[in-house]
Amino acid sequence: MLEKIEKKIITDFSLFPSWEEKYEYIIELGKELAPLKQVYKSEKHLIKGCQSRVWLVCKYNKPKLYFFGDSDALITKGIVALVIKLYSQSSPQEIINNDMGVFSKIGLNEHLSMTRSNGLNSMLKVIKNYALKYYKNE
Amino acid sequence: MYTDNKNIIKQFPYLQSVKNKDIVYFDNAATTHKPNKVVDAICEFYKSNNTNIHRSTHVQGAAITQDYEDSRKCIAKFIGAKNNNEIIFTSGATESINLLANSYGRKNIQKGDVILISEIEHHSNMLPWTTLAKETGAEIQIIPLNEELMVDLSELKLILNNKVKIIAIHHISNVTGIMQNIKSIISIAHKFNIPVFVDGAQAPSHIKIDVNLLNCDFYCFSGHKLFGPTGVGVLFIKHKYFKQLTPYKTGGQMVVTASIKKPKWAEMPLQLEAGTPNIAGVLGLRAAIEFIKEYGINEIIKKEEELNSYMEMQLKNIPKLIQYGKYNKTAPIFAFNIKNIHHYDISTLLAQNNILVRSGHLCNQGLMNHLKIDGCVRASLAFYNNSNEIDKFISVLKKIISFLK
Repeated sequence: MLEKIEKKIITDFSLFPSWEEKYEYIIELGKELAPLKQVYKSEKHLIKGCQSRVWLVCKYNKPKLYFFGDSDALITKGIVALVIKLYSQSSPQEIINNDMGVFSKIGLNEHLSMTRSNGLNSMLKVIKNYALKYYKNE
Repeated sequence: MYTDNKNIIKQFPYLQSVKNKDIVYFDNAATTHKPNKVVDAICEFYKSNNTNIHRSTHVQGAAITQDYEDSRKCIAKFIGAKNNNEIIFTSGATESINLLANSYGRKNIQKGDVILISEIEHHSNMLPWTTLAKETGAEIQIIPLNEELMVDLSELKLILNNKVKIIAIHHISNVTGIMQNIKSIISIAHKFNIPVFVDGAQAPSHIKIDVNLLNCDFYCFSGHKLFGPTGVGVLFIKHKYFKQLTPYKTGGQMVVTASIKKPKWAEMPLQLEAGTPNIAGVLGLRAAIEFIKEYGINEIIKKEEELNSYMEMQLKNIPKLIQYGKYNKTAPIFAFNIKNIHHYDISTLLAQNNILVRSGHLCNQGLMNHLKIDGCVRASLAFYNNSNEIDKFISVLKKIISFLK
């Protein structure tokens, strides 16, 4: 399942020749993201290490993990949406086995040079940690 | 409109390189580019003159020691220090402030004393003092500011007393480019016998520094923000404080008698320069200062005044732009937000268009809190920038704003 979505994302991104269009697509993904309930926009769900505020919430409904999130910057919100599109509805095992290399494959890592400030790496770390936590509890 | 700057650019390899030909570099408050003179000085040292200093018996070592000490002389002259030994080489402004807080601070500040800082200091001129206060039991008090982000001099007079042991204040803001009225602050402080430390990290690439004229007690700056190399900086300590210092680092060349029970420290400035220093960095910094001298600080000021007024004029054409610190701007540093658009989105898309700026809290969360914002975009220019680059910046910014709407 995760592999299939990964391939779809790579194909989707290859459809946009310029980075302007890629950004437009990322921002569009962010706009389509289901709104995050205000109650979740708390310190507990805040991802550290981002220039904009990013919230990521994880729900475990055996056997799958579900992710919800938001950000106050449009591009970052798009990245949150991309991360959610990729990992939500995956099992902890699937996430653990995933090398999270899709972002390099679509050139996002390279293009968003400030991976620390956009928090992509922090988001991926949090997702992996959730997967590990629930995998151990299974 | 703007003085031709092709000849300036020729002297900066970064600006000349084919790889960077499309880049508009508006991140000079973070670091400046280096002229050939600086790069050559560093290369020349490693290629032909590499030896250690202050300890060799060979002629080569003595020659580089002489070069190193001549650099100290050159820097003393550049900032108007009366004595060469008032110049201490550090790794940068951050280390200079940590050195001062740990050396002078630990010896002279104790429980119940007050350290005065403004709430809009760069973290480098805040955290060494708050850490010192925490460890000694001293208290941090905040210098009152007026609406234009300048120290309120009449309010300052009211909070000074014999408990205040030091005032630490920036010369030029890393966010707004505003210059504080340092001479007046110092003159008021000295009436109460309070020494003043000035964080000049953003200053010497934009204005003429004269520590003697300012009558300041301590001053610091970094090499890399002054067209010099990274990893080198300066701390100026007025001669009269030499007896009130304690070594901050211990090691080679800072000691005369390395007795276990009672070591005898070397004279200033070596007492505060333990270990092999950044020799190449110091020689590079001297080359940067020689470059400024040859070019002329007045010429730099003139060019930056042109850039300042042109940028101000152009920023007025951007709808919904909120600029922070518009008045008393000295350095061409522009901090702003666009209403309802996140600063991260703007700086990211500017970068996509080869315009390099910085965004976020800019290591100055105090100023962000003061302005009640969580961050902003900062476009910081240097004298080698030009009006064509400003035009490109403005046109791309307009495009980005409509894209993000």
